[in-house]
Amino acid sequence: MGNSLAPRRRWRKIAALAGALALLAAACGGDSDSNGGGGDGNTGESADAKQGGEITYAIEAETIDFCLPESRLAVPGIMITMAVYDTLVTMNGDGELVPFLAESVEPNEDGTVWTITLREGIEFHNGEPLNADAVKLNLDAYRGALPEFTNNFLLKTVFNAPTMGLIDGVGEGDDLDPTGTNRGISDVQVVDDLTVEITTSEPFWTLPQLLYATGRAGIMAPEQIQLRSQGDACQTTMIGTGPFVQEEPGQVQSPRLVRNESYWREDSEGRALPYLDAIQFRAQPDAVSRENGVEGGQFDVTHFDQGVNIEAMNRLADAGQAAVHTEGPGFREISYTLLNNDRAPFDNVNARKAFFLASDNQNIIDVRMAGLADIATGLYDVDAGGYLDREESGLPDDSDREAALEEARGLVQAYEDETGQSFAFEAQTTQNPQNTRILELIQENVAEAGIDMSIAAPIDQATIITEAAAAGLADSGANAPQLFLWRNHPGGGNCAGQAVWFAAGYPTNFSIIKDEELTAIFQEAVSTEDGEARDELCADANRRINDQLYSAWGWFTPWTIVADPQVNGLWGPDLPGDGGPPMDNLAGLHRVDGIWLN
Amino acid sequence: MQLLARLGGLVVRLVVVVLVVTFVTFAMMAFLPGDPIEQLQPFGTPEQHEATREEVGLNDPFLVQYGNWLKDFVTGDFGKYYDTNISVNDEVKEALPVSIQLMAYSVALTLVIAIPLGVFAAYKQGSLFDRGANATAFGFLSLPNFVLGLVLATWLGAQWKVLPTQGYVPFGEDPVEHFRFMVLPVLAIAASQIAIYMRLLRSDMIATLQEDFVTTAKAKGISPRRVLFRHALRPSSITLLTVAGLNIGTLISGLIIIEVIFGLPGMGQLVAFSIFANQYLALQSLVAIIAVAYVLLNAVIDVLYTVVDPRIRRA
Repeated sequence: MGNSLAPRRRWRKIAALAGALALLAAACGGDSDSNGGGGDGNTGESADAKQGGEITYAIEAETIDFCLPESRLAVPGIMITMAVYDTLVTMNGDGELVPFLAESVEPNEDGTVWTITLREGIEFHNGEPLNADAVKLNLDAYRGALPEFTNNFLLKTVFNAPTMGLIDGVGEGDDLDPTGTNRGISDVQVVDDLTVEITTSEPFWTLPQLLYATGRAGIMAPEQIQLRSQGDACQTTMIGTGPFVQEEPGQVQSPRLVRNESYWREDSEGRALPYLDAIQFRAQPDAVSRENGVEGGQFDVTHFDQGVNIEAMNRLADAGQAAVHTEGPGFREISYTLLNNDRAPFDNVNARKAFFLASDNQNIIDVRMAGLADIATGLYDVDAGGYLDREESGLPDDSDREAALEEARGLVQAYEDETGQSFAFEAQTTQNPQNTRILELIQENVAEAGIDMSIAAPIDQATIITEAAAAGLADSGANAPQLFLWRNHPGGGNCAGQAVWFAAGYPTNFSIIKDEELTAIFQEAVSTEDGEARDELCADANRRINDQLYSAWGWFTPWTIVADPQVNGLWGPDLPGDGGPPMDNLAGLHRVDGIWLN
Repeated sequence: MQLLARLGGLVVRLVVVVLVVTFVTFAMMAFLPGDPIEQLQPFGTPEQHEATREEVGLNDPFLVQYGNWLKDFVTGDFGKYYDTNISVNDEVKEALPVSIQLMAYSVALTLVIAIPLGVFAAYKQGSLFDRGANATAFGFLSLPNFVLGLVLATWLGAQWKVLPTQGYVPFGEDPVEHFRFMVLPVLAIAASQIAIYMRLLRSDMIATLQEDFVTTAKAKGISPRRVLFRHALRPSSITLLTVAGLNIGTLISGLIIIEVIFGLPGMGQLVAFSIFANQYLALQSLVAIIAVAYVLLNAVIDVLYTVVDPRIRRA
C-alpha cells in the first residue's frame, strides 16, 4: 500500500478550497475597526441627529415581570421600563425632580395636598388617552388600593407611609390596609380630565420622589392594569406612553421594542422622538461575554459596575473602539454589605464596628474594582443633601490596616465575651461570580480579625429582595440573611426619600434597623419643606447611621455605560418645559428616547 | 417481529428513565428548604397563601403532586414560571430548535473531522502526523469547552472580529448569518468531542487493520482508501457509537455554559435562567424534557448499531 491515500493534486485542490473558504469567512466577518470611523459618542442633543436604525442593548439580567406595582425591578428591568413607560416626574441633570408626563405637580402650603396636572394630548400605545382617570388607577395600584394587586411591594408601602408608621403602631393588626387609612396617602381624586389631587394625612414632601421611584413608577395603560384581575398577563403585556412599544405582547425576555410613532416628545428642532426605529434588549449575565459582545460589535450599548470590566472597556475606549461613560461623583449609589441588625452577630454594635474595620474597603477597591471606585463615606454622595465627607462622617478610621485590625480584634473579643458566642455568620450574594469574588476577599480580610464568615450558595436578585422585604414586613431579621452584598441609594431628589430604607417598621428597611432616634430624624426630614433644613436633617441621619454602623458602607458604585462610538445621544435632549438636561447615568440608568446612530 | 420487540424495548426504557429522573428531581425539589408560596406571594396574607397552596396542589400528598405533574407532562403541559404567565411550553418551543441545531452541527462537525483524522492516524500509525494528531487531541481533551469558548469569543470574536460572539439568527431568516453565529459555539463544543472520537477510532482501526479480512482485501488488490473506509471503518465504529451515546449527556450539559457564553436562546439558557430565578417547577419540566431527549438519542444510536454491524441486526 502506498504512502498516500489520494493523488497529490486532490490534496492541492482541497487546500485551495480551504484557503478560499477562510478568505470568504474573513471577508464576511464581523464588524471591523471601520465601525469606529463614525460618531464620537456625543451624549446630548445634536443637530446631526438622524432618524432610523436599531441598537442592541445588553443588560446584565432578565426581568420577567413588568406589572409595575408588583415588579421587583433592578437596573436591567428599569432600563426596559423607562423605554416603554413614562413617569409623572423625572430627574434632571441637577438631581432635581421635574414634571414629565405631568405638566405640573404642586403642593399646598403644608404638603398635604398635591395637585398633578397632566399634559394634553398624550396617548398610551394602545390608543387610550392619558387622563386623570388613568393616573388615579395607577396611583391606586401603586398604593395598594386595588385589591387584585396581591403582590404589591416596595411602592405600596412607601406610598403609604411617609412618616414610617411604626410610631403610630404599624405592625399591629392589618398594617397593609389597602385603603391606607393609617398611612400617608389618604385619598386620590380626579378633579377634571387632566387633574388629579392626592391628599396625605401628614406633610409628604417626598411624594415627588415616589412618583419617579428611580424610573420604576411608570404610568401603565388602564388596559394593562385591568389585566391583573384576570391573572398574570399584566406582567408580560407592557403598555405605556413611552418612546418605545413592545413589539410582541407577552415577550418580555430580551424584548425587542419598536418606535412609538405617536410619542408625545420632540427635540428642540421639532423632530419627533425617539430617533431609533427599535431597541433590542438582550440579557447577558456574564460580564466577560458582554465585553466580547461590545468589542465584537454585537452589542451597541451595555453597562458594567465592576472595576475589572470597566478597566477592559477603558482600554477599548483608548483604542477608539468604544465610548465609556462612568458615573462621576454626585448622586452615585453605594455598593456595600447590608447587615441584618436584628440577628446575631450584627445586632451588636461592637460586632458591626469590628466587621467594618476588618473588611478593608480600600483593599477591595484596589483588588476587585481595579482601583476605579471611591470609598463611600455614608448614605449620600457629594451632591446629594446630607453628604458628609470622611472627616465629618464619624466612621471608624480604617486607613491604617494594622491599627484597624488590632481594634477589630479587640471588638471581636469584646463581642464574644459579652455574648458568649463566637463571631460567625453567613454572607449572601447574587449569582454574579464577581460578587462572589468580592465576598471571598472580604472573607479573607475579616478572618485576620478572627471573624468567621462563610459564603452561602448564591441566589438571584429578586429572591434576595423578597427575603429581605419579608423580614422587613415581619419587622424581624430572624429568617433573613445575616449579611448580603448590596447596592442601592442612588441620590438626587429629596434626600429624605432614603427614609424608607432605614426607618423602623418599613418592609423596605432591609437592615431591620429599630432606632427611634433615626426614625424621628427621618420623620422630621420628610415633613420639612425647606431644602437646607432638610439637608441638615439628612446629614444628622447619615451621622447616626455611621455612628451605629447599621450598614457597612463600601464604595460609590462606578456605574459605566459603554457604547459603540456610532451611538450618540445617550442621555437625550433637554426635558420638556424648563426641565433642563436630563439626568445622565444615574446608577446605570438613562433615557433612551434621544439615542441616534451616526 | 424483531422490530416490534426493539420498539417495545425502547418505549419501556424511555418510560423507566423518565419516571426515575423526574421522580428524583421532583423529590429533591420538594424537599428543598423554604416555602415556594412565600416566594410567589411574599406579602400575601396567610389566607391567600393557603388558597394558593390549594390552587397549585401543594396541599396534596407528595405522590399525588408527582402524579398530577406527570400527567400534565405527558400530555404536553409543562407548566408556567412561578408568579408569571410565561408558559414553559412556549419557551421550550422557541429554545429547543436552537439547542438541537447546536448539537446537530457539533456532532456533524465532529464526525466530519474525527473520522478521517482517526482513520488516517491509524493508517499512519507512528508517523509524525499520528503523533501530532494525538498530541493535539490530548490538548483539546484537557481543555474544558467553556474555556475554549471564551478563548474563541475573545480572539476570533472580540479581538480579530472574524465571527460574532453573541446572539442567534434563525436559519429561515438568513442562512449565512445563521451559520456565522453558530461557528464559534459549535467549535467550542466540537473540539473536545473531535479529540475523543479521533482517538477512539484510531485505536479501533489499528486493531481492525490487523485482522485477516483486511489482509485478504489488500491481497485482492483493493485500493487503500477502499480498504480503510469500506472495509475497516465499519467494524471499528462500534465503540465510537457507544461513546457517542454515552457522550450525549456531556454534550447536553455543555450546552448550558456554551449557550450562556454565546447568548444563544436555547434550552441551556432556559435551564440557566430557571436555576438563577429559583423557578423549580419550570426546571423540573426542562430536566424531564432533557431526559426524554437523552433516551431518544440513545435509541437512535441503538438503531445505528444495527446499520453499522448487520450481525447485531441478525442477532
